[in-house]
Amino acid sequence: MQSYPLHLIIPEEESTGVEQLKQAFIPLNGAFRLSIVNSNLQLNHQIESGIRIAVYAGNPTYMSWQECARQLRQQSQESIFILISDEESTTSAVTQGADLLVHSRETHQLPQIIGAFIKRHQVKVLMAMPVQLDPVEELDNLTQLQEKNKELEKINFELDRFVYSASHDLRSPLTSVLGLLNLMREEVKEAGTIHLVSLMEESILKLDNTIRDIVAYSRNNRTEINFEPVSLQALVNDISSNLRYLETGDFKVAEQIHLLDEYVFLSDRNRLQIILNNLLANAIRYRHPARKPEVQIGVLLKGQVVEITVSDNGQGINEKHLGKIFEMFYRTSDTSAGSGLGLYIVKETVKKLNGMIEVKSQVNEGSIFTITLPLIHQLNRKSGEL
Amino acid sequence: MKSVDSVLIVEDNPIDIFINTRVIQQSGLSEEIISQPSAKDALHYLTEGVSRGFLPNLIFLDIRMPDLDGFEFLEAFTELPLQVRQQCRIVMLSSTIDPVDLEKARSNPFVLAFIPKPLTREKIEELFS
Repeated sequence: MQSYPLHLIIPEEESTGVEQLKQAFIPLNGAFRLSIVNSNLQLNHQIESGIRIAVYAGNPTYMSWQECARQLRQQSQESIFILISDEESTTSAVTQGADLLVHSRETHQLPQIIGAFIKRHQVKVLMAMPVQLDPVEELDNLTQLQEKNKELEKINFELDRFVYSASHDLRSPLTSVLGLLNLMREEVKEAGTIHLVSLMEESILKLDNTIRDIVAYSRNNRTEINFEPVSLQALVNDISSNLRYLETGDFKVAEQIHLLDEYVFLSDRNRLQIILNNLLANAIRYRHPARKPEVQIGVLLKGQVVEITVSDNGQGINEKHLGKIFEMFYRTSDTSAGSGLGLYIVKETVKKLNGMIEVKSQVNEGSIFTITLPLIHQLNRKSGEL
Repeated sequence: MKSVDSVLIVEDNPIDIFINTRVIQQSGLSEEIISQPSAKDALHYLTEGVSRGFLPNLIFLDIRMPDLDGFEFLEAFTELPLQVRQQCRIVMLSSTIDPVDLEKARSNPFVLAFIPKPLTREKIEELFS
């Protein structure tokens, strides 16, 4: 994964705000190579050597942010200057040389905000090079980097196509067998045979689920997070209709989505789909034998996080399993239809989105899965500010 | 359940041709069921259909086939005579789980729907609901 060098320009004395800022970058496992600048001497030296991404926070007294941005631009037009301030407005910040203005209350989402910004300005970051190299070498390195990037994109794309091609070749005979089993059910009247047909179908579906889970796992590990505006309502509708094809029997899905209209919810749609798809499929699969499965999806904005709850009226999960259900290949019983990968993948995907997942359950009553994801503000539709 | 005059199945796997034909028969969708084992054969059949004066109303199109695949069929379909494009509606039927495939299918103006295999009576009924 690409690792971007990032300079944090902060005051000489440590403060809790600054400490929080440094903490924010830790979970992202090397997405940024962090360098701290907290003196005039260091800053001058760094600016001379070349800074690609600068985050200015806390009001350092040795240089104003405007002056810092100006000097940065003088060295390289392509560097990115991010200002953390509660005093400035976006307009004033941008006209005085900042590329991005972030409020102090959003610092724990800073890596995602910067990541999304970099994605849109990919070329700028690649082009900001340390100044020591002479112009000819610089150009070589630049083309090399761009070529390497293209190569990696190509490899990733091909790997994706391979994974889907392989999964199709594995699934195709399975869907044929499922089709034949359906026909058998229509044509055979003998109860004993019908029972065997059902057992065969169960096994095939289990195999199919494992294939899907492996594909999802492969993609979650490799692909970058893609932030885009997501309509949770539409996503839930899509998932529900897809599930109707796959699950036998009737079920009901109800949503209660409470997100303020003026905020656009930014997230990785594919990953959200994997999370919700798995949880919904589980809720229906592990139904209570005596009643129709009903799943409630709730979305709530709670301060700086979005809380998504998926609650069902299914069999529930025994307390002794609760601590282990997110483990790879853990299944509560051998007869269960799952592959043991589903919840593991959900957990890994939630982690990739910097969120958390919890479960509460009561045997014979049902279960509630709660996912908390950091909220990423996009432009407030009315005020035009971040 | 609505029925149509005739159905064309474009599919290279003989087992899936067997399954689709049976299911369509049992669903009452159509009594006239023709299958073509490749995209090229299907395009040929449709072109001839114009002079024969007989075209299918509904086409079940597989995606992954050797030689021309389902999407390449769709590209060639746009070049077929207007009569064909007006009369024949297309349903894509596949075991793919690649979201790129799903998106391509759903966004194609000639595709009525995408149905994940295996084809069943319920899925056919849902087409017309």
